[in-house]
Amino acid sequence: MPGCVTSDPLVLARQKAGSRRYQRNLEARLLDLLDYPSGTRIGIWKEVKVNHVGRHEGIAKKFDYTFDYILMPLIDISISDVIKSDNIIDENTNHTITPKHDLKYFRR
Amino acid sequence: MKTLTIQLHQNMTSSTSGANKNKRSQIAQAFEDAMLNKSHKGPGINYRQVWACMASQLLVKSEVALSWQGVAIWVVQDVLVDYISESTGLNVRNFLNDKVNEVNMLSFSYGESAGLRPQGIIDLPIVELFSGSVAPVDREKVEAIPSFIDIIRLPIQPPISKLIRLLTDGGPVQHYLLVR
Repeated sequence: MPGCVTSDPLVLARQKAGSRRYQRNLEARLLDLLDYPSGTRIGIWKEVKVNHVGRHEGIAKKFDYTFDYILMPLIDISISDVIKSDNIIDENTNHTITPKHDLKYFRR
Repeated sequence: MKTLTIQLHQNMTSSTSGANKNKRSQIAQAFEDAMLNKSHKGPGINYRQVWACMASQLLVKSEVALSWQGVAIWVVQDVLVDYISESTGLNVRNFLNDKVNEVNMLSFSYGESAGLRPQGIIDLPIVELFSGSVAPVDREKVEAIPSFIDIIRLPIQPPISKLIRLLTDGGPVQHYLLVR
């Protein structure tokens, strides 16, 4: 389950998260809210632009928003396990990953 | 006893998008060229900003007008109606009506005449009223009953697979080990 953060003053992606003198309490509280277990490695993406178009009740619809930050747990997995698996379940998020489509997910 | 009827009319102005001094598409330049009967091109409308300024006012001013036993009428151009229908959960054209309701949009359009390069003032031949409730009366069925509060709701649900694809294409810019 990704966490979407939309608050400009946060600078999570500029340097190591949780290490800033004046913002660390706020960042720690923010990360607490996501309720991931201790030891979870969280990836932080910034300025993720999501564009999606489709139709609803015959009317053209468009989703066009930029999220300031997206936070999502990362998992470690061996390449051999990736190759052997059809699908992998992230235990933290219950998200299903299909290696042949999502191989880049594992890039470190 | 004489009834006091209040009508609130709201006109939305907007900032522009795409004005470029070198292309003479700033408003002043476009106006000057038009007055000199030259080919002219003005900037576009910053639709998102208009919508953002309008959405909360549309609901709040409509409600306060109702509380005063009056009515609020929003005068908007058809292109804004189309933008709202495309980019929010509100399908404005489903509210075509001939009587006012809690929320009212009076949409005007140049129709075909704008493309014909007519001389003089262009008439606004097409006027449509879109009206409906602020919110669903039955709060148990908020999802099912369209109302004008849909203007602040999701237009279409992007699938999470789209997000995953975006994230895996670029990779995270930071890692953070959560320690409690």
